[in-house]
Amino acid sequence: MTDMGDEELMLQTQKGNVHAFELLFERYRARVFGFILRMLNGKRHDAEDLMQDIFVKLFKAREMYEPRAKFSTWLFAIVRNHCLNFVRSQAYLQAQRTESLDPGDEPAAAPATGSGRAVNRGSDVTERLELAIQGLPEMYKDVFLLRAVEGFSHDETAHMLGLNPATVRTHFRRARLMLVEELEGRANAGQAVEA
Amino acid sequence: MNCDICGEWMDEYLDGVLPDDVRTELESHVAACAGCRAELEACRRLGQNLKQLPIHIPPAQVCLRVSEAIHAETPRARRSDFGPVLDLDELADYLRVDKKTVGQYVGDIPCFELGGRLLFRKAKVEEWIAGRETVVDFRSDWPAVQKWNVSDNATKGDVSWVLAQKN
Ligand SMILES: [Zn+2]
Repeated sequence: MTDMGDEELMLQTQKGNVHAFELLFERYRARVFGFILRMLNGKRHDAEDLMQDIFVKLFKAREMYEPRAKFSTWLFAIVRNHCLNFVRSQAYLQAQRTESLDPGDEPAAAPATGSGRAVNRGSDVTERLELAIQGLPEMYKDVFLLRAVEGFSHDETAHMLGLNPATVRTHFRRARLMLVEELEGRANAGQAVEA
Repeated sequence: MNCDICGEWMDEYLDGVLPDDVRTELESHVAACAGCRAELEACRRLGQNLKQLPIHIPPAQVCLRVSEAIHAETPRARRSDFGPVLDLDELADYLRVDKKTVGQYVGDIPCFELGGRLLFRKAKVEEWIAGRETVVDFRSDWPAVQKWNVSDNATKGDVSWVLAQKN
């Protein structure tokens, strides 16, 4: 079964083969987890919970998968929606807390162990890039992650996000320019060559 | 081609997926425009750095929890091949009811104990079923069927309705 394509594995899952779904999980777990971590600004603990939540929901919703659709685009569209809902609900909760709590009260801090950092290790540049991606505005971040990190085409990204491809191109370029500016300074974003 | 369009097609240019005519247009714009040349180089460097991004493997306990959860979501397939002796799980599958229902009839269904396990001879179970069988005309006698709380499966040759008679 390991040589089966994603779509075939999903069909097997629909027929009740749990092992097929486990193979899909195995195939996509690192990509999806990385995507969630970045969408959640490196909050590892939340990312782990959301990861579990999403895959269980995906399994429960297996009948919703249309065999004609590319599995990876179906998967990432769902993952992205869950992340966005989560981020927005957290922002909402945070706003509620800030409004209602005494000034002395800290908002619930992220759990202490290694949270808040997505990066394993890596060079200074990659670490800064990781943080810069996490810091992208919400409207550009998913476009950038899907297109540049996950390798979906502009058209696929547009389809997943319900945007038109022209918008995706514009957003993607803005995100890219922001990242270059963050990493190399304004001068290198679109004019001067490397110092 | 203007600078905005040029900037928006750059990543695909670097991916080598642009159609020939667009690629040629982009190349001639870049050759003439220092700003786009710099942007293209920056785009290339960013692409190189993106390849170095770490891979994030979820912790093993997350994978385990996912696996457990999806297994819990999956109804176990009922067995359909049985040997001459059944254990309690197999008997439940054989009678197409859950284990709890079978439990209510233990003592009524002929059984024997071996090594601390309760076992059932299939032939004896069949005899036991035969002793309880009643002819029911499902088409004309629906109220009686409902009174017995028979599942739909009974009409498909299922034996579970036999057990329901007791209620
Ligand atoms: Zn230009």
